[in-house]
Amino acid sequence: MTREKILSSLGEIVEESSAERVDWSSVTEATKLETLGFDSLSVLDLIFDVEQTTGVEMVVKDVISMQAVGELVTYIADRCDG
Amino acid sequence: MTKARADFSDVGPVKRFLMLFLLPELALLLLRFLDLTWRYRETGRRHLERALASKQAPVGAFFHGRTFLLLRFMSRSRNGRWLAMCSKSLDGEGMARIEKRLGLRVVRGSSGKDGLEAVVEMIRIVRRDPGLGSCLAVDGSRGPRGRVQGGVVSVAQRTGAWILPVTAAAKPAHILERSWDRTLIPLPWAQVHVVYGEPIEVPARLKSPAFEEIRADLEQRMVALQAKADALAGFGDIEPVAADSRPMEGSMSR
Repeated sequence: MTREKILSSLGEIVEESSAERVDWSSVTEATKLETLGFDSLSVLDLIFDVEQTTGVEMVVKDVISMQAVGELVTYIADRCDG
Repeated sequence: MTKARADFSDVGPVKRFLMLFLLPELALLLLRFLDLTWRYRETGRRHLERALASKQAPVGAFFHGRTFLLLRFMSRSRNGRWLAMCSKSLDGEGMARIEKRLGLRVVRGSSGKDGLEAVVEMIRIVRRDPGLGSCLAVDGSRGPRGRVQGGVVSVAQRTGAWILPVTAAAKPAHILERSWDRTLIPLPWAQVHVVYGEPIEVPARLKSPAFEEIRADLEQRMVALQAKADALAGFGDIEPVAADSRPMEGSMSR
């Protein structure tokens, strides 16, 4: 799965799961995750939506420690390829 | 609550022996002995049977203070198979050992990041084994007593399981007054009343306001169920649990 495809899938997931309204068209890999309005409930949504879409099982402490959208994309890309 | 490192290497050998070996063994012996003498009565068992027969075994929701009454009872095979959650503290490790010896499966974590990890692990295990129910002390592991945390709703939401409220009361029984959850210990030959509430269906996709609505509704139902169980048993707690009308901040977290 390419980074562009992952980023696009994340857009759909985040727009659905984030506690705040997110305009994904303005989001880049440098965008800070904290600006996307995640709380513990939407982190759970993110983890399971990513799992359903890509088959990647994310670890909570890894997700919580991520700063930028690009880190999330790399995390998924690495595990998709593996 | 004792804070300790994950391997408990920072705890002295005597305390470690007491908390991880001696006390769990004694508690297990006591529980097994008491269980032989208790007479159980069930109210609303049809709710348990209906939930166990559904495509995904339920999420059993109970108050922490009634754990001792429910442990042995729910570990009987006719009452389903269950996955429980215990905190990663030293106390939680002792409890996890007791629960495993009773035949329950256990995931570890309670609140904050640990709690979130445990909820995710619980969901993944249950999804792989739809006949396995999960059970959560909904106001645990540290209270406030009677305040339902959001984890139970998340597990139901992500597994498609119904939430099955369950509680118990007994007479004669003793309340541990110094415990935050007012732990109830039935005395030998007590009559134990186990009461099931109507299962609650949880939609797969929930935004925060709807999530809070379900959590608050469950809290009210469970408080009412506990009052019913106490009345059936003829047991009066001078400090009964009460629903908190304030919405919970952050849904899953405290």
